[in-house]
Amino acid sequence: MKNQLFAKTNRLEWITVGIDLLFVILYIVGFLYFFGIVELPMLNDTTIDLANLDQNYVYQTFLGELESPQLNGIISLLVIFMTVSVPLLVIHFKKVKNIIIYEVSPGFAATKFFYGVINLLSLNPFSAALRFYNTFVALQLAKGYGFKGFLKSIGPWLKKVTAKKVQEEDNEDDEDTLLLKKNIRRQTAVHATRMTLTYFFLIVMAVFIIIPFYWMIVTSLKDFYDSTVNPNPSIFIGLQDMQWVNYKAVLQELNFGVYIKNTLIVAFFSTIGTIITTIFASYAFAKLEFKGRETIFSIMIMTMMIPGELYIITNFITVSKNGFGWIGGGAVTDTYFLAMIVPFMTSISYIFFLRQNFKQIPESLYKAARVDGCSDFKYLTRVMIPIASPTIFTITILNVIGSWNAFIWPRLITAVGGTEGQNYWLISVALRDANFNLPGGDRIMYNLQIAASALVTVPLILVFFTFRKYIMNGIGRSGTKG
Amino acid sequence: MNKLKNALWSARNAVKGFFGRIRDFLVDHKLGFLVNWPRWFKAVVYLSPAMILLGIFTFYPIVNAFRLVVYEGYNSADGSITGYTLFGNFINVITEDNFIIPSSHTQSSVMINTLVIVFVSVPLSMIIALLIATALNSIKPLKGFFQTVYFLPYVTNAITIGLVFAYMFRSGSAGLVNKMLGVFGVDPVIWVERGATYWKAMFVLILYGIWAALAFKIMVFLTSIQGIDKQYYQAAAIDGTPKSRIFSKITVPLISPMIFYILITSVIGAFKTYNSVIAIFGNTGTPAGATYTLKTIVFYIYDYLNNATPGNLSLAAASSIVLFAIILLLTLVQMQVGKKRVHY
Amino acid sequence: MEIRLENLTKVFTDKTGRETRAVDKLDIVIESGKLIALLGPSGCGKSTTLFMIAGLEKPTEGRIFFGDDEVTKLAPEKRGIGLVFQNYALYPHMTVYQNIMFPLENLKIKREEAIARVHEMANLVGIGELLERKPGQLSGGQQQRVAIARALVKKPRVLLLDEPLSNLDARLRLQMREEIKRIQRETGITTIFVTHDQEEAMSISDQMVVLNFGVKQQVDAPQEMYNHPDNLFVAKFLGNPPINVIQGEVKKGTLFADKKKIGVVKAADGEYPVGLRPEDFKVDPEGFEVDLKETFHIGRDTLIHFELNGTDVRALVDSDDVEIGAKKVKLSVKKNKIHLFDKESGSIVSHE
Repeated sequence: MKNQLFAKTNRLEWITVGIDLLFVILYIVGFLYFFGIVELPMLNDTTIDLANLDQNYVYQTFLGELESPQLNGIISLLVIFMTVSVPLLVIHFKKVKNIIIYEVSPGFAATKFFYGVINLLSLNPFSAALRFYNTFVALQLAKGYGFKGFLKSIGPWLKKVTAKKVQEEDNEDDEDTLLLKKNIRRQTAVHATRMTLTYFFLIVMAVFIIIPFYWMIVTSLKDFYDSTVNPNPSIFIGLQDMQWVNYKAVLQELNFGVYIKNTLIVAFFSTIGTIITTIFASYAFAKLEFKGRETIFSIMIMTMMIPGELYIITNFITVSKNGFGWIGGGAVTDTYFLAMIVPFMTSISYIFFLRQNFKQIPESLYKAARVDGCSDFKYLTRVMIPIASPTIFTITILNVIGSWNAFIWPRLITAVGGTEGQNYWLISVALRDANFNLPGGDRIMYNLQIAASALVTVPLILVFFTFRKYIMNGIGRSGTKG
Repeated sequence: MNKLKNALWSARNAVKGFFGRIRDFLVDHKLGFLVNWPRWFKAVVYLSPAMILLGIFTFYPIVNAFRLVVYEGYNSADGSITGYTLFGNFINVITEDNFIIPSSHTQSSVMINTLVIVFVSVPLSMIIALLIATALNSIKPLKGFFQTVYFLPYVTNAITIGLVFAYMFRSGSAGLVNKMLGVFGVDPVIWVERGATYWKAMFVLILYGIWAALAFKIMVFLTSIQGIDKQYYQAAAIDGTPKSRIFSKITVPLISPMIFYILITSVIGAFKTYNSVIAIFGNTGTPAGATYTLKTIVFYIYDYLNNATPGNLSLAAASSIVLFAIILLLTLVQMQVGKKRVHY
Repeated sequence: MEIRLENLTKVFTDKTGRETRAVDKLDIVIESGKLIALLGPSGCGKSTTLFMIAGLEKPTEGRIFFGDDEVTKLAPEKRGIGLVFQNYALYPHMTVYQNIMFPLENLKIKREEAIARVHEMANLVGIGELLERKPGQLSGGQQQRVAIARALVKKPRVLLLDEPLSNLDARLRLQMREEIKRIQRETGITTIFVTHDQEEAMSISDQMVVLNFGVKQQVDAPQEMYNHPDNLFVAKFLGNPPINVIQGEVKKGTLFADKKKIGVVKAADGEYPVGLRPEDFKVDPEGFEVDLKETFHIGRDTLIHFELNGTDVRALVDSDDVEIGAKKVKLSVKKNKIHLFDKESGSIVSHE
């Protein structure tokens, strides 16, 4: 019976996750569609009127005629839905994949209900309905009663809660008990004050951390006037006033599309390279015995202390004309990518991190595999890598984040070769060095600059929310290890 | 599905059989060394990708930096030099205007800036992070939420948030901070733009430094506080020890090794400050029209690198070796102290 | 499959160049189809011997034969062995099914046959229901069974078990002992079993090999070895409570300890260490008298402590023969249960 119910709630959840996925795709498609039809106002045939991006247009869509504010409102909603539902989808997927029967509790059922409400708010009635229904399947599994039983159980529960209070008030106490009660009350008050202060402090600090993010998002959706000229900038912004056109201008007119593509290329290849070299090197350091292993390893650890500036100097010479000739000259300028990728295809700290992880795998597994006729390489791919996969995944994410944020080195080398180098800017470099000035003036269009910043930051935050556990684990462990 | 698996299985067997036959053939013909690699050779194969890259881009540059530093007038375009010097480049760097001693018309130097950042931003961020970590450890609801929020700065891009900070501290128009101050009746302040004083600009720089540095410290402190044996706290609770004493007599001493480790790594990190300066103040490293500089040591090194005058690479090498010396010194201190009193 | 070890020696050299002889000139013949226990205190070289048989360690000297084939230099996977580790060494990321399947991937057999074999082995060890679980979701005993199934699935010629029961709790250990014995009987495979627990070894094995500091002490059937230990080490190592060793003197065929007559022996006059098992004493009005230091009545038996020639002696006697609160008791030693050892070498002089 229990197993059947468990299978049922699981099946329901799988279906719900499928619908969730469908809706996420729907949101994304919708967003791409509406964002795609946003029009950039033109000054003439070739130049865009960057100062007045907030002009009103009438768009023909499958929803009928839409004016700019309505379109902005729709895009805003879709963006909010996406930011809520994508991480939730990942969470739901992981949960339903790993759930065990003992985890099904009334609390678990309540969470389902809560997520159902979120589904309802993000205009997904199908998932919502399934989740509401599933709440009671889970409840039946956990408590043994379904919807009706739940309704019935509310009454006694309320009675119990109110009855307790009455009982407490009724008691007549002698002096000792009164003193004790007073003490307890005082203690409770102290505790409550302390907790209030603690939360107050934490909230203030959280606001301090959050404000730049908030201000970035809000500013990136403002028009030129409010972001740059207005001495009294507005702090909140309505869904309809969100100028999504800013992002379009940044992507198309200020070339951030290209810079993002460059960054992704660099991130992809340097991460693949790092993972491969790191796995092989860590394996050698962890499991293969050879002369000088400890010596080489200690030398590597020692170089971690040396500031990057020291080797950037020579690396700069190495990749430039007198060395490999990857930058500043020659007809094939895509070699700028080589200069940005190759030096970062390995990492001592990751090798160290992964080696520690490999070392923890018991030696007897290796012996068992040897007896079974498993070669070293097969042992690495079939046993070590799967066991260390959380660590490898952490390394992957940290490396992608690192490449996305890379600034000093790409900036140094793309500064060579004038405008040719500018085509290979990565996003951070572009953020700092791209020209955000109003055409024909020296005033910075802050709405666009900050929109570009948001464009860089938002994917990072999404990645962080999705893989929070891996990232924080990686940092926590590397920190405590020293 | 099952058929596919069967096919895969047989294919693998066939491939294995093929290679097995080659191996047997080679072994039979006394060529076994081609396939039965000795362990050291296996190690070479596994290590070579990482080692070649590290050799070219890490080990060689370190050696080369010490070569560059003895060159005089090194020209990276054609590799020519005009002579050799032992300490000349170091002396040039150290005596350069604004490196240690502020030049006549300014009030700050690269070294002073770096030291201000080290001695103000590091202790402040340490204390705040410790307080937040302790507070986080004492709560249950919303703990995960706060943890996530505090960790956010760690994954964000230093340049972007630097730009946002500069924007928030704008004066005149659209500045959020001045607007907030206005609510409390404070007149608009010039923070980072033309006319800002040294300490106001420095304030923004340090504030940003703290903002960015908190995440990692909170995370590490929280991990180590959570690692403390609960029995200490239970014993203290039974003795009726007040919370402040528990903090100063139990929590802090027990995580002192980690505090010390974080202190040293943050000092090293603060010595390497660069991104925040360039994000807030741009390439000039100072508010427009200011008579002082806000550059740091690393900023100086990149100035040499960006400016391709002959001899500058040697100066960059010299200043990075100076930086390295500082870091080495700090690390040695850490190792010494770590040996002596890390375990309370 | 008969296994023969000839002059097998393993010398470890540490960083300072100091040599340790983990296994020293071992000559053993293990009969086909038997369950053999390699027994000895920790660090006596029994696991090293096992790993040399498995091919995971290279012998410094000596040869290993499986039947008529010399396998000394053969790679482990070509020897046809199954190995079960102390910590089971199951791959944590694979299911039970995948774990048992893993060794078969390296054999040249059809997939259908491989699947059939996995099921056959899983049923043999009694884990047919658990194939989809991961090792982390199994109890220690179940993991042990999976490890045995994984070792047997290749149909090896020899099954090697390295301290397989030491990670289990006491009750499971008893159960798994019987289980291993049953599996060995059913498959009829030559099995070598390493343990430091003499009780375990005695209860399970057909033959025992006792090692100390890498040197073979005795090879015999368990009860035979218990009754007729070849030397003082074996006598002390087997038995719980352990054997009592007292100093005795033989005068004209009679053994005396502390001027008390213990029994009649066939040995030259002189001083000997004498081994007397606690259960070999009996209450006897004709025997020698001892002062009881402590008495523990434990049901059927009574454990008494007394002093004999300056040594603390423990004896297990029938409860009916000892009065509660008695201060003195007269004892004698059962027939053929006096073990005399040589003073210098510790080897046996006579069992009387």
